[in-house]
Amino acid sequence: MQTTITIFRKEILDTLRDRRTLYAMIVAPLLLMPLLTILPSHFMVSQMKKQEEEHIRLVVVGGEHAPELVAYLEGTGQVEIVEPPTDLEGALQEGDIPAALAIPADFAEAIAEERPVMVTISSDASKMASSMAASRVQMMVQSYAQRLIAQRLAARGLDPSVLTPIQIKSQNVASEEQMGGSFMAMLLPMFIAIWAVVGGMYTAIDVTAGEKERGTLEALLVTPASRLQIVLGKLLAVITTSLSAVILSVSSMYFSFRFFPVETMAREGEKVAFSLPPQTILLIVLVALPLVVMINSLEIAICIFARSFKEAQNYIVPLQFAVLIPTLPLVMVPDLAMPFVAYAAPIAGAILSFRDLLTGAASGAALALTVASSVIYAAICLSVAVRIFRRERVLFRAA
Amino acid sequence: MIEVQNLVKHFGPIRAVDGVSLVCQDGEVFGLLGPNGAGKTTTLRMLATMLQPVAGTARVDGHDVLRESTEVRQAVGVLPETVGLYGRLTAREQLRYFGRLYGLADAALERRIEELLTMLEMADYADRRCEGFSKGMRQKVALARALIHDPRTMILDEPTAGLDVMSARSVRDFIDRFRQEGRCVLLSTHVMSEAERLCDRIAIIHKGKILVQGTPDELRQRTGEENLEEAFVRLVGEE
Repeated sequence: MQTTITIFRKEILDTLRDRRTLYAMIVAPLLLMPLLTILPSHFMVSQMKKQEEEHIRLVVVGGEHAPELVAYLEGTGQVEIVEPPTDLEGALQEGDIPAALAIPADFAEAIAEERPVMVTISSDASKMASSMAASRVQMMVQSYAQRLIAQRLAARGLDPSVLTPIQIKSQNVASEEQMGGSFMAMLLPMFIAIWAVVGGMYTAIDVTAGEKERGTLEALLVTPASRLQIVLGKLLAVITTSLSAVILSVSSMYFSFRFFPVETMAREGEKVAFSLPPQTILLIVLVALPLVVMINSLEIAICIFARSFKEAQNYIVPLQFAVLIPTLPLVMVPDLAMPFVAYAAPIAGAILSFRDLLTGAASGAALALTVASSVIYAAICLSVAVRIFRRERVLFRAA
Repeated sequence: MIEVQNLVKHFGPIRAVDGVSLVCQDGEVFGLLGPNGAGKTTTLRMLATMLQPVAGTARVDGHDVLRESTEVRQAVGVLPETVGLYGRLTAREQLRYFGRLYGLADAALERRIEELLTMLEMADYADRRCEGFSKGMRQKVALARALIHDPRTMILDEPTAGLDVMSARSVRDFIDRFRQEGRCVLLSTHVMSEAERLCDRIAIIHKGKILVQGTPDELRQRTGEENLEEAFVRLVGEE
């Protein structure tokens, strides 16, 4: 035990002096994820707002046939009518003008005779600004049409409400916390899994392949420390860095959700609140612990095969994918229903349990199954790591 | 004391060590002399319990390397072939780490570290991180590491390889000193003159087998060559 602690303390000291570890363990989980998820959506929202408020430079072809419509458009204050260029299609494709409205010569006549008439709105749908302008113009033309409908109904002595016999009101019974939980359930399980791998990765490589590369492994192997003590000491150090990365990333994500609400996520009128009761946090940690131990043991087992730091990095990439893939379905289909046995699947079971805990849908039996199976997987991975560490052919692979 | 009888080690089809026997007494420096790939490092690694022999027996201070590997590790100080240090730790921190792994602690450990730092004249750079140390400085840290638990038996794999003249000389002086202190020193080298100068007895090893062993004088007599290098070339060439 004393020996394991000695090794653990040395590895932590060593790894904390390594800038790569500090980056993977503290800086990246703290900053990267919030930046990756929150900044882009804020950017998108502000971009969309900007475009909604912008004046549309609209070309109207045949405006003289519908002076009332043109006046209506100008009256909205959102449109600036410009002269048609010689090459209309080209100007649209070049992005010189965002949209064009073509009015047929019989427009006024058709309106007066109350028969349908077609106008054409042209845009370049491959450009976001252009397609947004087109849809705004379309809305304006539609609301002009609504006015015509109202006039025609009034002329016949009818109330416009005859056209909407049924009105629909949507009501969301989910509480603000449940809404927040469902957003977190999309991202947090993935974060926990990714940072369990990445947070401990450099330390795992450094304490295994790194010892080989530096030529320090032999000196360590001739000390009275047993292979089990060595692996345990090293594993503890990897778990420490890995867990700090997980905890830092989850808390930084949680606080960024809380203090910078993501507008794009919620539909209009919906309220979202982010809160994690201590009991949920405790259960998440309970599920995360064996998962982290299992992943870190695997990392050590894989990396001890490598002769150098670089080789170990190559070996660890498949592990990153193996952990990432089970999290993807949940990001795409958050309320994916899975059979009970799925909670016993390695990695995926823990991911499902994280989701259930965050959405408040966790069942005790499923949680127990996940934790029990994860503990078994962790024990298997640890014993594999120790066994590999005992094989002289692995330890003395020629450099 | 090291006693080796018919030690054998295979790597796949390769018989890296093929029936090596030798005895190295306390107060004696014993040299394993041989070309690269002769089986020197593999023999030393088996004695240091890093590799397990497939046949034969080996004892260090009476402890069997297979059955009592923990006792053997506690008894022996090893200078491995590649001298690696933890670059982000200082020389003192490395010694402290290994001292703890050998069961030393607290005041006794700090005292032993000071002793070694003085003896090896390392005080100047004891608290500097080891990255950027010269080969000679690294070798001293590694020697101090091997000596941290004051072992009676020492296994040194190519102790002067790659060192400059002055560093090699000081390492040789330390080996002389180990002999005077009554330690048992088993070393490997491929440098003839070094073996002749340092060792009380020499075993010439080639393709995993010991061709001949004895004092430098005995080797000269047996081969009829005045010069040990000539003797070596003849023996190895005959195979």
